[in-house]
Amino acid sequence: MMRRTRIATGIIATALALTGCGVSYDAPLLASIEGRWMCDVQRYTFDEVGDIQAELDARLAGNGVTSDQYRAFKDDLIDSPELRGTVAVEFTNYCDTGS
Amino acid sequence: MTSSFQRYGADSKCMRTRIILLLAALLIVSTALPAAASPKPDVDQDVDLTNYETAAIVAGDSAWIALNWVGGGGDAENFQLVVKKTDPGVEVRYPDNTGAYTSLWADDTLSDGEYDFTAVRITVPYAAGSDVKLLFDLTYEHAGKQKTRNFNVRVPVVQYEGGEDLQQVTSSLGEVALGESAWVGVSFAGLAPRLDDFQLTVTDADGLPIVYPGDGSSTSLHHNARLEDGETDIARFRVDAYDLPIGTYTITIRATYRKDAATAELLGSVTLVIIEPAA
Repeated sequence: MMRRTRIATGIIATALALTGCGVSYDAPLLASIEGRWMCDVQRYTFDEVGDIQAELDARLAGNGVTSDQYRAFKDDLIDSPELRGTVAVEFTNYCDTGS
Repeated sequence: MTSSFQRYGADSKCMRTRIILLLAALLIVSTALPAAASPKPDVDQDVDLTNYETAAIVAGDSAWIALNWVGGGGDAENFQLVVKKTDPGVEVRYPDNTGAYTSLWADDTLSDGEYDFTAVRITVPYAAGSDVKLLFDLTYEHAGKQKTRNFNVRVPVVQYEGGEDLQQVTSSLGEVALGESAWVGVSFAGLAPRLDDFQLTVTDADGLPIVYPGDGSSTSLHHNARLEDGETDIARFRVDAYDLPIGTYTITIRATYRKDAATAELLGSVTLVIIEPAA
């Protein structure tokens, strides 16, 4: 009986992890960071490829966002046209030079 | 502050998972029904490049640049970008984890409306002129079909002459039709670690009426007044091309900025061609 409970608990924990149920985040903040990042990354050069990730990590940390939250946000982008639309609006508003 | 934001939390995610499962079940049922007429996806619109012109690279230098993509009309899977042709002397390298090609930063699929970028390392020869051009081959799978598309990319090149803080990237503002107003932009690349309070003024407009944003007396960079090493940003102003002779105009400009406590300036010029309006 105890063994069954452990297995069931393990299955539930795995399912929660796989669906990202344990991670919450501020969607508008992440969408804003993502839209601006997608614009800025194309305006900069980087000495090393690792500098790209370092710059993103610094932006996330500067906004109080953890890498787990960002990963969950990126996972949700795959499934959510609305979230992708919000990022697109942020990108356009920030990046459109009007030329 | 964040309390007023919509939150994607554990509850909403779990609820969403249930909804996704429900939708998946409905999808299975719907695929068993006769197919309704649906619009054929535009094959040329499923992936687009947002920066056909990249950040500037110093001649003789190597740097990683980002090519930014946006999806449209379904998933583009197994996204692979390789350079097909370059100007002489240009070298291209890809990230170690992909090797013979570069793919998207997050994964190898670009969804409809998603933004993601590919990183490429470019080495520009010392003898390069104002830019180098690269032709890329992009391959991906869309709606079960393999696709290959070509993209021409321009990499602006700036010449490092020692002690320079920044360099003007744009030499030509292009063409404006007579009788039109047009916002034009001059790009600058940062060479010093950090320059602040960037301002651009036109010192000699060659007879062209110039208007700055907000009807001010100068313009600054688009994103902010700071220019950093490796950053390319653009300063814009408007040209009102009314009652002017057709021809090429040379506009003299002055960029001022602060480097630590010292103020400095960079003088330059750009050309603009006033053309006959379209019939």
